[in-house]
Amino acid sequence: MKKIFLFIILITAVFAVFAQPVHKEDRQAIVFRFNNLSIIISNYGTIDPSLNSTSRYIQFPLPAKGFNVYGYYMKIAVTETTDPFVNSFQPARTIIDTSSADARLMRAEDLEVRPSWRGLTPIGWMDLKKYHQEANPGSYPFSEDSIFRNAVYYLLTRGVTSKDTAASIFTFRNKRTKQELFRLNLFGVERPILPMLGGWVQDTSHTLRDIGLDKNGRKYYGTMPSEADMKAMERERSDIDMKNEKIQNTLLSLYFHGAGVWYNDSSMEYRLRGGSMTDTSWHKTGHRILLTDLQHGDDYLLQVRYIIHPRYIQEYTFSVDPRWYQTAKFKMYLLFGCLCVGFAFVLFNYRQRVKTARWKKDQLSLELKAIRAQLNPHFVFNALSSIQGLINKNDIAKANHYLVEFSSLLRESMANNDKEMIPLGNELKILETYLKLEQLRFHFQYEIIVDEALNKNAIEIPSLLLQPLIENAIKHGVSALNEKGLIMIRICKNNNDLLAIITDNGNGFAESTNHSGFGLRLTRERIELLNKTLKRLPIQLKIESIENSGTTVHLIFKNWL
Amino acid sequence: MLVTAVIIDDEQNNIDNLEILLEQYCPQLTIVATALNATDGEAIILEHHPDIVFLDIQMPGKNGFALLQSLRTHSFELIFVTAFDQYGIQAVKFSALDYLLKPIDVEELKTAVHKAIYRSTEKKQNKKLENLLQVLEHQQQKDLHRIALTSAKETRFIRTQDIIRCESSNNYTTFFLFGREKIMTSKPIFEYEEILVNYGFIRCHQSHLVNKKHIKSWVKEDGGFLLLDDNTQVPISRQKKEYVKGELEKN
Repeated sequence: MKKIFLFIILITAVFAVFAQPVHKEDRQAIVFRFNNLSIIISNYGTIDPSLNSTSRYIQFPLPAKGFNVYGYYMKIAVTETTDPFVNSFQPARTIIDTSSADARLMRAEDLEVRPSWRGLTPIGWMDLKKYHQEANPGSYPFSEDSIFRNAVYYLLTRGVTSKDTAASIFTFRNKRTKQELFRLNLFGVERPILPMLGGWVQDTSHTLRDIGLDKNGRKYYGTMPSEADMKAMERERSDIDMKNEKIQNTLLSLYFHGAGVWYNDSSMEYRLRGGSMTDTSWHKTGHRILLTDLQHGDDYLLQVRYIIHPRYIQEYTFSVDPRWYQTAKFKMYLLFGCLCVGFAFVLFNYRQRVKTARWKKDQLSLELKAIRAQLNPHFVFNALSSIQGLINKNDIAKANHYLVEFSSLLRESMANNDKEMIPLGNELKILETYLKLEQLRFHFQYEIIVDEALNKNAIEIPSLLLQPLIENAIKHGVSALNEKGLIMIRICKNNNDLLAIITDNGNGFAESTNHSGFGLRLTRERIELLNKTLKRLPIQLKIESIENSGTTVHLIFKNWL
Repeated sequence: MLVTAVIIDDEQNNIDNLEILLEQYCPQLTIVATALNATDGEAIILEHHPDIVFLDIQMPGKNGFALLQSLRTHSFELIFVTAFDQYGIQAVKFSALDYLLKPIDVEELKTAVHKAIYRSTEKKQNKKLENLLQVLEHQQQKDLHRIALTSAKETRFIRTQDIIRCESSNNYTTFFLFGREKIMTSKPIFEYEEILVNYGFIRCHQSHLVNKKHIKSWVKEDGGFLLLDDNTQVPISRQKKEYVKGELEKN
């Protein structure tokens, strides 16, 4: 029975405590220590939980132990050294053979191993092969800083992969004595193997420095960044964990851990989703992914996986800072601005409309004024002529009376010249003065009857609208009759309507004739204009004339009261 | 010599007033009759054959013009008397008949009466009146209308289309007619402008009134002038340019 020492070396010490739990467990190894010889099962596996991290001293042969193998590839290596430092190095998870503490040295050449896969032993007992570092550059199984640097290595050319789900049994025994040292039961367990982000950097300068390299051009980390690497990356203002990160510019460089023989330029693949990306195909990549032409304001999802583990996809989400015009703030301002402009526009429009409406009304009132202005002259000059007549007749008293009445009419007319509407009472006063003046010329009789229910001072009617109708009644009705002439003006109410009825007992006229007298035409035009401005208060003019028995004019102010 | 007159006015006051004024300022006239309406007016004219008729244009029923149109004889001098009548006065002016505005200006009355008495001695058909009636009868056919142009020696009745242009010189106006004839009248140009604007004339310059029908072209050089059918050039004053342009575009 060979005395084999178990010697615990924790290879993972160098790499410890890194980001993702997946990796935390991965880097564990178990060492079977036989004095100067160590058999190391390493890489990407977890040890049987029954083996705790403290060294154990047991006597070989060791009963078969089971191990789960998680990694892609499990290495089984053997080191042989008499280096007292290495031999005194006793980290955890080492199983030390206590049976041969002072026994003769065990030599690697004396060992043979028989792998068995799925119950078959296709190879049979085989020697351990000496590993030549020079012959196998790049596939050096340990870190360069490893304490095994100067050790001699023997490696099995085939270990166990995670695909070997049935137990693979590796039996070690002494070649000469055929004594079995121990047996390893290894189970391949598939588990998520995700690429791990080592660091990332963004750059606005378009000249990305490859932070994966140190000053000497060496890679910061072959497998995982060291603490020093982390600090270096911190100095580069990059952040290991970029999940849900916001980046400022459109260039992003990400660094993933590259380790071991199977990390090469196409060991991983990635794809970028989100933004305006439509390409859903995977792109092969090494440990560095350079993303260019990211769009400001877009959200992205970066998916990365090992090519050999396509089922396990590592995802990083990040968004690119929006441009100033893409920010919510700006959009809010913009919305506010739009609202302001819209409001201003509406206001402007409204004011414009009001202006236009006012302008139209002004136009109408101008036209109305123009019509009103034309009402007077003929009468005015006739009145003046009458006064001249009285003066020349030396009828001083009458001339005075006439002049005063005329002045009063002129004054009222001038005072109301700019008023569209005047109180009914004022209008009636003007009409009475006018009638008195005309009475002096034509000597007719007149009567004005106002319904007592009407508030003469409150009700307003268009100024001098009745005057031309009365003028007509005088001119065409009673002027020829002298004392027998009679003009009756009645103002009354009919429901909500105000009525003005002017009756004369003149000759009247046939329906067909003389409806287009000048004064009447102007009155009709004026009513038409008034109806345009008043709208809901239409004025109607009806004329009934019976030949030889007089004319009645109805002026109806609808809904006036 | 006895000069007779009648007054036709729908207002007794006006008749009285005019009678008093005539008595006082024109004693050579004798009022032989008055009438308060056109029908009576026609009767007194036919009855008295007055030398002078004072006629109100606006009267209820038949107006002054209608009265004249129904008369067969026009061998009297006519003086219109009116308070205010834009259209009527235009027509009266067009035939260069005399008119008085109420209230009556005594000086104007005297002048009008003197002129009428002077003419009435000739006792011939009143051409101006006939011209007026012609105009009234064919109101819509403006190219038949003849304007009365009174020069020192005679009164001519010229179709407006035969007038190429008018030029002002102080209180006189010279008419340039088709066929290179000229007539000088003693009225200022603005009075003719008032009448002739309705006949397609435009006042393109302070001193010029031009018949649109006789404008050949608007020459833009030298600040712009109008070239007329008789090859005269009429300037356009700066402030009238827009107006002239507008008027010419109306065609």
